[in-house]
Amino acid sequence: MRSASAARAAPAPRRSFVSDLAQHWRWVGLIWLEVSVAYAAYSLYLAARARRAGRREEDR
Amino acid sequence: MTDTHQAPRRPLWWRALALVTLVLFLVGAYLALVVSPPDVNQGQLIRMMYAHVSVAWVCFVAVLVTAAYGMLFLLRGNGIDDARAVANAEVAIFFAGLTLVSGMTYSKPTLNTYWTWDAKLTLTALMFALLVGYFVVRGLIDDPTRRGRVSAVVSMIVAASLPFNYLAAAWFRTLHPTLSVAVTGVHVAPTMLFVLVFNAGVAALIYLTFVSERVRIGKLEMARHEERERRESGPGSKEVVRV
Repeated sequence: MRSASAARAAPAPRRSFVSDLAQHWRWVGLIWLEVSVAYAAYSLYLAARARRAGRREEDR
Repeated sequence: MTDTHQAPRRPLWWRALALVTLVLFLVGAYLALVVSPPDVNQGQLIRMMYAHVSVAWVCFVAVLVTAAYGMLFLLRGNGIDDARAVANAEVAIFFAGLTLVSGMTYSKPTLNTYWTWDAKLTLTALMFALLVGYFVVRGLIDDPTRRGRVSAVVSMIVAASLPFNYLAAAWFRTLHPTLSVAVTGVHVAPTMLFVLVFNAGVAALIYLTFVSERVRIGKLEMARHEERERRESGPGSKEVVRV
């Protein structure tokens, strides 16, 4: 049977920044990817709409 | 016919703003992903907060500015105010959608659910639905003046929901965390607060970049519409229209 002192003597392994972040990289990466893709997509939409709006009537 | 006439070039200040915004966005992402310390409760997942909260704050600003231009249109009846209101409403609906999606992504690993119908989340969904309604209403009305007036009223209804949305986490039992940054005080570590404010500032710059470009597009579309109306109402218009 393990003694109480042995249980206390076994501290939780200290996690490094990289291993800690790697555990959650999917979620952290996903949200930043979502935001980046959304900004890029809306920029492309605005560029396409500006091109369309800028054409003169006789070109359409 | 070939497209020989390109869209008018964007002003130099706008291109500079877009470039600065892009660089600052990358700096903000670096601060959030590397510089910010982990949170005592959420650990590394706190890095998601900077993306979600900054987008949500800017969404609120966009809704308020939409309502302000809507009110100006009701007072002055100037078409440019309506064009600015629409530009802000479009960017507001974009940020509202992004707030909902990023909120669900943030919620799953931290609160173990994508969605729950509590006060805060329901009010945000309602705000998004009202913004969709804003564009539905605009699509249903042909007369520009009436269209501007009705949509201005809708925008003010959306803005009226904001205080309830902002304070819902404090007023009701909700899964959404209470406000860490409020007028009553700030309960965030200094480094985290700096990263949050920096990312909120970047989101505000992105909003300004989008809105200014969307307003320019609105002006181009208005000019084209007026040109078409002039041709259709002028002498020999039928020949011109047929061309």
